[in-house]
Amino acid sequence: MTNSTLEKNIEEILSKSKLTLDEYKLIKDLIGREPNEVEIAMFGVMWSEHCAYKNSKPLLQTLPTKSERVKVLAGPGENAGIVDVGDGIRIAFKIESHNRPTAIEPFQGATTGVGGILRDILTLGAKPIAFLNSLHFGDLSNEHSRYLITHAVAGIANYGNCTGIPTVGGQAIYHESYQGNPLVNAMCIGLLEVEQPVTAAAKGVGNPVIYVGSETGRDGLGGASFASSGLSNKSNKDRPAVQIGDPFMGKILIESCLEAYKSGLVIASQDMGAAGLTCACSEMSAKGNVGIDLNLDKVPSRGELEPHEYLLSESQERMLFIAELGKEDELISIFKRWNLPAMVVGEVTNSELVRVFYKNELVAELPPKALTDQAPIYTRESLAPKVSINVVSKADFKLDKEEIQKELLDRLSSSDFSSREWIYEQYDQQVQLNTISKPGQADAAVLRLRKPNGKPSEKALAVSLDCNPKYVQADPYLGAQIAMAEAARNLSSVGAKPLAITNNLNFGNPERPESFWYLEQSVKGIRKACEELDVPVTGGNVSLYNEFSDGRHILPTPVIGMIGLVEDYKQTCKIPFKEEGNNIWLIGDTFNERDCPSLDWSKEKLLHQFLQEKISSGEILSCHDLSEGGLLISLSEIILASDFGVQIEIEKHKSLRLASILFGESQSRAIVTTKPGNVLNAQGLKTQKLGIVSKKQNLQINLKEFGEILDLSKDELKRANRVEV
Amino acid sequence: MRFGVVRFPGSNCENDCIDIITRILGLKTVLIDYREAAYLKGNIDCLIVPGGFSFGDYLRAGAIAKSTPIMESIKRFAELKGLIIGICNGFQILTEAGLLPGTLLHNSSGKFLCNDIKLKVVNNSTAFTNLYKENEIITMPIAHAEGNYFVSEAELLQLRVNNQIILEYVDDINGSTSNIAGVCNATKNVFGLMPHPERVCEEALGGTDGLRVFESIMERTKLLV
Repeated sequence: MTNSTLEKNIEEILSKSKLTLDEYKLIKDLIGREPNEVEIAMFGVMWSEHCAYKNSKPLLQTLPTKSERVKVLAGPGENAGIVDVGDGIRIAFKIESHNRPTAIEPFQGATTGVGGILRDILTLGAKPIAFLNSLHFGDLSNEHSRYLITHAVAGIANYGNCTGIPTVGGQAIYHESYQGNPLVNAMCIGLLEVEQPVTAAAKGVGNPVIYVGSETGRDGLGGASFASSGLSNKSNKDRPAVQIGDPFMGKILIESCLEAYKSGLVIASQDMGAAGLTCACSEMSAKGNVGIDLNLDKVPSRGELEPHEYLLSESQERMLFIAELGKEDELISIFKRWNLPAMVVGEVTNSELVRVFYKNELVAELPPKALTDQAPIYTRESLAPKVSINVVSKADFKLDKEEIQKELLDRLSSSDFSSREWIYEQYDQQVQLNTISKPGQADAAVLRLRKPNGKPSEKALAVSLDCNPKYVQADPYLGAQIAMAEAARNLSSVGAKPLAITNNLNFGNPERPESFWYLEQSVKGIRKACEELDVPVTGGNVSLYNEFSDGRHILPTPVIGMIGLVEDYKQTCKIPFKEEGNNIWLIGDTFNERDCPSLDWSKEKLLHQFLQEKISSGEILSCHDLSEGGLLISLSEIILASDFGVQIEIEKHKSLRLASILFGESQSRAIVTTKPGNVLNAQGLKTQKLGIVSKKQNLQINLKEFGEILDLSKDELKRANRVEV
Repeated sequence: MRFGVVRFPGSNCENDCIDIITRILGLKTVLIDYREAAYLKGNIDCLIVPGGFSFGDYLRAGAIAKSTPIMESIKRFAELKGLIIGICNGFQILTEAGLLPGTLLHNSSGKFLCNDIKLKVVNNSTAFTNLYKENEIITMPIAHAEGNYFVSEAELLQLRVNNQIILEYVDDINGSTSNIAGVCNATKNVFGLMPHPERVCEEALGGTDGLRVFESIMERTKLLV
């Protein structure tokens, strides 16, 4: 195409690449000439929100990335965060969204979300040891939502189970705002198996660039830009932007790459995820201050592809390596032993340009940093909604046993609290023999940590994924802090001290000031909580434009993935009661709350400290925090997980609504049990003895000066809670 | 004694088995690649075909693995009365290869299922179960999509007559004929089961009911020597 015809069609070409005319002008300034169509397509994917964070970078830069307490080896900007916990154990972890592909093709969308985050961990030289995921879908009563979530769950199971990586936890939230715009945020955790994290920086002029893995096809074309735009009833035509996963190939890739990294033959490596070859080549050369010449004719492909298809394909299970010149055959032979395609497709140059050749012609020639570092950064306008959004809701209940029992059973069967077992029972939770607490057994997943020689250490890792989007909707600054507080409380409930977080910020259109305000306030809330808890952010993912052309948008959903350390894996804690006759304690104070409850950081931190100390000393025998659903839901969850029941007595304080006592969501609370003689006194926190663990598997509650207000059997609770999907 | 653990591409429980046998039982293991046709000579007392998704379970679980070079050696090893235990995908492979009776179909729910389930030890006189009590109820995890064991009425009768049914699920969890969770061949040296004994060999990971499978094998091997 000549430049004059290109000029004529420029708007169409730009719209295909989801670039603006101003961005086009900036590209011209940066490269000092007109870009050709292939080059525009490369900018399109690399300057997407997904790759360039062009709407969120100024906010993300305000988050703390270091802490005195924690040895952070890699932070934001790397493929994943890495934290050193001693004994040679280095933990790599990151979360990433695969929302848009899941909306269009739920099985493949979710499966490749899992595969993608796995390779982010793998490419550092880390062995993936666990997955978690945060799922947000429309209500199960909606047929399309049910189709989306059941297929997404099957997709997640497909990849994790087949690759031999346990899925150990997460959350599932059903809300109408996610109908048609579901969220799949997948988190992967890995342990570094090499001395130093494998770098992405290309090095050594003349060194060969080696392509490893599946052939390049037309799947996932421009997925990164697709993921950075809104949905409409025409989104189905973007189906080719959805990638197709092959977990068997993923498994072989893990084994062979780890062998390759340990051989010392790898100078640099990068997985091909979002923006495929374009991203891998430009990031590797930009980070190494070198150039790369890429020969597309050497790239294995499914059918004949156009240059832009090679460059934009997001075909799965592909990696790029740099080897030392002369040692490429040795490296390639490792992959050949695993029957994995591997070949030299280019070389490192001193040009500081990514040059792409196709049929002996130069089809693209761009400075890599223009692609990776010089996307425009937009400071969006922020506007708080005019109406008051955080209000006291709902009338109080009548003091009547029948009504209270019905209310509890209704809630247990509601989409907020119904059992999620149908989801996690589809995931292999134990392969690799590290899982100490499985989903549903404890407030956080707990994994025994192995040393680099494969032998178990004393230490365990605790992980929690949290966000209550309804709180964030009501008050984003506070709601985001509560997501952080709850994640840290969940870790504390298994005796772990928080180490660091990864976050996944799922929001609407940042160009809409009200929507941007939610993002801005949420990030502020996360920052505040990071400072309170002294935990750094080591990376994450941003998913914006989660809305439809008709203006419907998701609840603001900043998902927090927090990891923490248990010093002795034998001293951790689970939800189920241990023995009949043990004392049941409620720690923390209850208030009348608004839509988003209040949070007192000093109390919250006292609770964390108390739980961590008393769990590691062995005084606390079981623990479950109070969060969504309050006292009665938490007690029901404990009984559903136990072989025991409870007999408790509660007091009604005059100023407290009955609804607040039974179902109120005041923060900074937990239910714990101790041996009968053991008296708990949590300093600075209200400590109430509620009653004792009973042999009879019932939830039985007396209200002082009134009498029995609840007596339901475990079977009745179970029947209400069960879901058939 | 020495265990051999077979690895196919896509196996994913081979390291777990090796970990338990070496770290908990203090025994030696050797990892055997599926391409090594002539390896199984003499120095291995028991062969484990571990769980996972051999060859991605493409086509059908175990269907591709059964045609690999190692299978001829495994068959010879079985003929020479060597002990073989197939766990989960290993069980599927051994039925596909004809070393064990029956077929493993998709779970009746149509879904992958990972759960702790109760099992009854029906036959405690085998090389794999001699340290359990007869009719003992034990707990082991399952993790499979194709664990629905099927045999015809006639074959079922045959299994009963020969005492080849080793483990039964206490409840119907996947649609298996007669709730069968584990069977052996007629000569009782090849055993296949869907539950994962290697996952319950340590208290910290939720129980030790699986450990006696490996200890039973040690016990029997000791007697043989």
